[in-house]
Amino acid sequence: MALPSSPPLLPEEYDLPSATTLLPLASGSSVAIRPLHRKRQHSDYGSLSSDPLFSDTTEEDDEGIDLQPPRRKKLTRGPWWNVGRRSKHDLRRSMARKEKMRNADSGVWMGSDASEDSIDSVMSSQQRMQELVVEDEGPADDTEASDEEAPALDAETYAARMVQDCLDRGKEVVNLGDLALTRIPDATLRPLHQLIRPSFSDLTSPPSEDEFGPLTPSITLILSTNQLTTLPTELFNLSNITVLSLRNNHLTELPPAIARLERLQELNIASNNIRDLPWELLSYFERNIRINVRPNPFYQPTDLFAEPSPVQAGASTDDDGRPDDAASAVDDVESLRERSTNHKGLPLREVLETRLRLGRLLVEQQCQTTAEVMKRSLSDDSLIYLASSAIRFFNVDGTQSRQTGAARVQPKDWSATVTPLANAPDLSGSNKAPSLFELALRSIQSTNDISEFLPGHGSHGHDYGLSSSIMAALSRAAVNTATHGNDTCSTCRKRYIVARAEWLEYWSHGSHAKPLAPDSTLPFLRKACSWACAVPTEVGTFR
Amino acid sequence: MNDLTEYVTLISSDDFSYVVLRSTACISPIIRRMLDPSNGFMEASTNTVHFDNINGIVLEKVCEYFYYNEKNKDAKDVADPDFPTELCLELLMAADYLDV
Repeated sequence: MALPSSPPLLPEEYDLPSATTLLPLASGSSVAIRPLHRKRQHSDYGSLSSDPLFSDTTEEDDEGIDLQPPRRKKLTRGPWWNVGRRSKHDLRRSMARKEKMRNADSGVWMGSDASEDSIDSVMSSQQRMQELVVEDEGPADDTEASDEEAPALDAETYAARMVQDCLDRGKEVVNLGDLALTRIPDATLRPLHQLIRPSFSDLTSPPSEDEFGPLTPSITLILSTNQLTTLPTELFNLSNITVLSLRNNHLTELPPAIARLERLQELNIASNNIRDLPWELLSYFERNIRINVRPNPFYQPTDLFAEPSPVQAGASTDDDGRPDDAASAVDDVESLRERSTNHKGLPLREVLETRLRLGRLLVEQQCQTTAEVMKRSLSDDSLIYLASSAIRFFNVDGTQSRQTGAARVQPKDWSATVTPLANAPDLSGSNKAPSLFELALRSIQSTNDISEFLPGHGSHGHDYGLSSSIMAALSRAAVNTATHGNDTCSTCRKRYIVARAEWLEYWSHGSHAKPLAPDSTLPFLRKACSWACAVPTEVGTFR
Repeated sequence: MNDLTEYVTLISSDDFSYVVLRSTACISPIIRRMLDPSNGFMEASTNTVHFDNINGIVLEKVCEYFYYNEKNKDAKDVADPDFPTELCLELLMAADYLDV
């Protein structure tokens, strides 16, 4: 009894249905013997028939490939139970074989996934993965890179790997900060389009109500503390970015396309070399997006640091006293408006302060008429137009227009002035319709490959005998097509290639208690599609 | 000094002439200056301008543009006119020359 019951069981089983134990043996022996006969008998018959290619009878597995399939007639011979058993067995085996065939790679792209795009993306991602696999150390190679290898290349590869990693894990915070990146290729950011928010991780319990949500991610992209001078085009196509940090880079300008990031809630561009902001960014300030713009070497309307502010004391007492009394506030608005437009001999700074006070009074008036909820947001973050620089006008081909009297083109001067249209050319005949130059350029841009006209690319670039201004316009059109598309006119919102005018507008953005100061004045660069659109904002405008 | 006529004639390098409204043609500062009697050019007295560097097909498109501009002065959301692809570059050069 030391041995368990299992050994005795076996012989019993063998013994009891004696027929079944014998029969497999018999069938086994028949397998060994029969084929020889059969082969002889039906060899020529089998060679005539064409069906062995996909035969479903399967005794040949253990016999060899050149064996003829056994005839069905023969199979039906023998005991009936054997027949049933065998056929079931055969069926299973043939099924397995079919499955094996199906699983093998046919090497043919199916129509559904054969689009060129997907092939490309597969190829490129494979390539990238290979590149990434080549050096295997992970974050450790950061130190190595600074020692021996070219750091730029490594940082880029590392960044690509980080992005891939975030993609794999569904991480919404993409931190590419402090990598000493000098540029980011479009291909690095492109995978972020595919990022989806990970759904609830353990599927053990049924999801609760609040777990049903969109899988659209809210990407936080951190590019701070790098050495970026330009931003990749792809960045502005990632519409799911909600937080974007470009702090501490070497950017000199922000492209207008930044306003395309519609879900953006926080933007940090501090510590760059940005001198002015794109006009489109004004909408971000309006939408109460948290924007960190300082420190940056912004243009100043006038030297705000040096001069003392003479009217400041008076202004603050005015602001404290007046707003309660609506009637006197209106009087004040009128007088301020007059003083800010009739600026004979007043120093620019004083004009600006007057305009600021006017703006604030208007904002407060607005606050009194609107609901309580609006009040806070309005008074805290209102933007008040201060002044604009002199407008620079351009000819149809983008060269700066000369005044009839002026001997040479005036140098770039962005300081604020009370007469922005002072050196404007004759605007009598101008209207908002696009110029013929612009129209022809647009139609070249939409139909032709511009690069063939440019000397760098086409062999016959010089044969056209194009002037330098036309070349400049053509290359601008080419660059627009390659990157963010054409710019939008700040006045009429039409798209244009060649800007006809540009100027800076200074807006005050800060809390109401503060006087006019450098750190509450923001310069916005406005561009216009036609001379008729080159109209600076009216005094007293606020947003 | 003769009065300013309502229409002026523009003649291309291959002798096609186009008669257009003076006001529309004068959106080009070049043509305006040529046709200004105070400047004393021959064009001003004959009210005819010869273009030696613009051929008939292109000048036709230019004249079409003059009227397009006149018509859409204050209009918004106007579709851009269609220019034949092969003419675009010549049009671009003509536009640069005429400053329109």
